[in-house]
Amino acid sequence: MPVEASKSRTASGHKGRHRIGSDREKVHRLFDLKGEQAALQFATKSGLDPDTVRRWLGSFAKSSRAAKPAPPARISIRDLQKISGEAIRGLRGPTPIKSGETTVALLIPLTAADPYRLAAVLGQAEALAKSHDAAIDDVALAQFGDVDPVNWSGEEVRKLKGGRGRR
Amino acid sequence: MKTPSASLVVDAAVLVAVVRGRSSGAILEAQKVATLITTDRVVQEARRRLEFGLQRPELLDLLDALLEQITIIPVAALETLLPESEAALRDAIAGRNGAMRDAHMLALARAVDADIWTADREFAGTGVATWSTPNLLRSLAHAEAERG
Repeated sequence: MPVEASKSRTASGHKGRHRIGSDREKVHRLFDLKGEQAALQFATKSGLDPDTVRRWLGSFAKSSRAAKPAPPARISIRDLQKISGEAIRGLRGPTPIKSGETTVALLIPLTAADPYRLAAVLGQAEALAKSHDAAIDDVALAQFGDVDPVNWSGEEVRKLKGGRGRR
Repeated sequence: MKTPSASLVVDAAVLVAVVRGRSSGAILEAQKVATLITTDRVVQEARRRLEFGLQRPELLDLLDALLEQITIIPVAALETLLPESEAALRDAIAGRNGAMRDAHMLALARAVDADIWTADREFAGTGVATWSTPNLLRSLAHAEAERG
């Protein structure tokens, strides 16, 4: 019985996924109600670890995405006349345009980055950077052209935005 | 203040800075307002810098993961646009002997009405806007402040 009670407490929060009143539940609720920015602001004010919050938001976004039909692997000339910009951006990558059975062109969608996946890549890059001396790497890269000595981290960007770029 | 275009062509130095963990905040800001695109030749150049310049092949996997979030256009698809872009780069300086090696980036920018995210000065005078990282961020901050 105690196990049941504990399970029920765990599952009774927002969308049955969180403990009621937990930070994660509050962030998820805000994310669904007011969007990513509001959730991030709340998390920052609450002093939550930014990497943890980024991971949470990634999982909330994933679960909130409605199941979409798979984008077509090919598009006919006739379909091309009807397809929307949004549908084109939703293509998985270069897509053949077919006239009958003949491929007459390749459509390359300009797709926006997934901010959560990108944040995960950036997290790894920052973690790896900790074990390297940036100044030594800057010297090695100088043979290819000017190297920006500034680390444009999230904090540095916030500073620049705060001062509106007097740096 | 001018704002960046809806798509931004990213150069090799920016890609390398990102995988070195030196530009995380910048790329997160940029992707909020622009689709990030580049060419396969830029990708090759970024690989070369990581592998032979930095001698850090362990960053290549990270580069691949980053590139999943960026649209890569093959230079072969820009072939017909290259001569005009080469001419624009060549004539961008008074001596009419400007370097033409990055004509593929200019061709891509012209093809999709994009600005270029780069600290290189070679695109000046070609008619396409370029952004260094701090100036790009300033412009984004300005636009954000105007939106309230």
